[in-house]
Amino acid sequence: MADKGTCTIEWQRPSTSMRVGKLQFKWTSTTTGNVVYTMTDYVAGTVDRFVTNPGATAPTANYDITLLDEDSLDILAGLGANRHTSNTEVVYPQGTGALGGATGGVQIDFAGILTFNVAAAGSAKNGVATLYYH
Amino acid sequence: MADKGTVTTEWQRPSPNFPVGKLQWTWTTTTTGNVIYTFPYNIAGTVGRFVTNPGTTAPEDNYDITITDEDSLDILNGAGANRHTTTTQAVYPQATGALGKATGGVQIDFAGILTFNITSAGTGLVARSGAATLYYR
Repeated sequence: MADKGTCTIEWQRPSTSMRVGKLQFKWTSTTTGNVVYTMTDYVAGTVDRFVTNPGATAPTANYDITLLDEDSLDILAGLGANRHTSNTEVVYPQGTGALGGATGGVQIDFAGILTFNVAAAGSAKNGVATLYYH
Repeated sequence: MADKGTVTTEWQRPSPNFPVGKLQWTWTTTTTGNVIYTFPYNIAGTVGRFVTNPGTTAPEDNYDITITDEDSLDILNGAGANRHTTTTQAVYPQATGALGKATGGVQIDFAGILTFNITSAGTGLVARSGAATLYYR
């Protein structure tokens, strides 16, 4: 799938002295309200916290974000769905399913190339999304 | 036990900048639906996430994967059983039993030589294929 919309990233990798990394996506949607941005660099870690901050040209209420790994699995476990049009929001994704506990309890590991997706945001809207990980 | 089927691996070790490692098995079964592959390198960490992705010659529904350590214990704790024939799936193995809580709660450490096993992936003398990925730290 071709990239859509525009997205720039700011990336601070974790290290021995700064154990939490930050990957920030600054996005503007297409006229159809979408963004698809595939990172070019390998990234690996464990999902801690995901923050969404609507921009000055605010996205439509209940816009959706996914962050897909190379198997097209969402490392946010669906928690990027239905983001607010004006409020900054934070979620703490966890794995569910087999032995992950019905209500979660296991943080989600990832390693590889990630694809950032926004849908249903409205025409040419913008915002910022930040993944904190270790 | 001799290795069966064919497997290629892709291994990215964890490091300070990339704290999660990835070991991926791309597998093809024997015509009896099995794979046994012993990874030749010492590997150590804590199980995070395990993903199964069926291949174009899809395994049969409810095929089973185990990753056994040098004591023949499954570091997936049974979570690799009954994998789907078409859907990519993720599981989050945790320890159960004595002090591991009945519903999980302790992630599973491993260190040593691992053996990747598939059973019940297909009959009818057709070799099935897929990929499985262990994320660990």
